Amino acid sequence: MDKKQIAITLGVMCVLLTSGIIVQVNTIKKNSISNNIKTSNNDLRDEVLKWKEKYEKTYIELQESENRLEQVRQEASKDNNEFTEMEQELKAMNSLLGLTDLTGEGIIITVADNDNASIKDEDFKDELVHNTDIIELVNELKNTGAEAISINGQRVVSTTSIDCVGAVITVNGVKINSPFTISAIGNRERLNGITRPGSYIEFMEEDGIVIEVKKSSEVTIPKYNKVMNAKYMSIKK
Amino acid sequence: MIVIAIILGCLIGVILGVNAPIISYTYSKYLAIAIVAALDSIFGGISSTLKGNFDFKVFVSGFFGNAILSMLLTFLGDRLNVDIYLAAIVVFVNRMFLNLTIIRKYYIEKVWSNTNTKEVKKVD
Repeated sequence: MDKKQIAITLGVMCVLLTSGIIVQVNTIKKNSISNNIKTSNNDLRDEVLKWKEKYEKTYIELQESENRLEQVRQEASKDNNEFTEMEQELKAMNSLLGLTDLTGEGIIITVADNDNASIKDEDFKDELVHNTDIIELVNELKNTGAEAISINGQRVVSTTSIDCVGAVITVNGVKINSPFTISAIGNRERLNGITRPGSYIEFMEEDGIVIEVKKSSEVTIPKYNKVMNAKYMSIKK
Repeated sequence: MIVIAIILGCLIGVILGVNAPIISYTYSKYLAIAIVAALDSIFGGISSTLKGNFDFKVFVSGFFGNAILSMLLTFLGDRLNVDIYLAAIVVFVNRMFLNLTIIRKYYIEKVWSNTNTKEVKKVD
């Protein structure tokens, strides 16, 4: 065994070793929980991450099955007029429920915490966006005729809750952070009435919250990405 | 020559690793234990090279064999709810230190003998 061969073997092994280390470091970096909550219990965190992964996998499977269902439905209703009508009705109902991706004219509101907010300020709390602010804005949007609303990609549906959990806001149980992007589909001129004098937006701006309202001819709103369960309710005869 | 090969290997490994896709968190435990096993094999390889009894077959089979065995142990530990991988880590790190001692002694002796001969020459 001469030195050249030894050098080549060791070199190749080093390639494997260092690439393995880098992949591992990247994996750990990507999966560390981003909200700076230091869990002393690593087992619990491990468990959470594993369940999250499983959930994501299952959700992808669910979507695939839904796509297949859609195809089967289309094929079944192809030759029958009555079925085609029902199919269209179903689609319309689903879009009202929030189970389809939508697009149309509307406005996009971006609300962000004041970057200069410091904990020493007397009105520190006013300079941050709270869940009540988001609720207020969603209400105003509904009043001005919004047909579909999403907050940071979370569709507002009948079961949506907008909550305050410590330092973050949750919508549909998903944590979201500043800046908040609220998209709404509807008549954009009417929706733009949300910026009228004396509105809640003006009130927030006075408090030092950064707000931007943009009218757009094409707003996309994603579908509700969870499963709606109805366990207790039944249709009254 | 061997040093250059190792450094070059590490650099290529970094480039490959940065471009490689990340793995699922569930399996990162197994990769971690495999990394420790591989690190042990590399140190073993270097020290045996210095001693002059480097064997290609022993080295490569040790590199992959140790990694696979330690991953299997981790898997078994997961099933049995015992942290067997800790035992594997203790063994590997222990061996790493032993090999490091051999490497260190080799270079210390080399440097010492060099300076001694120089001093002898000066006296002459």
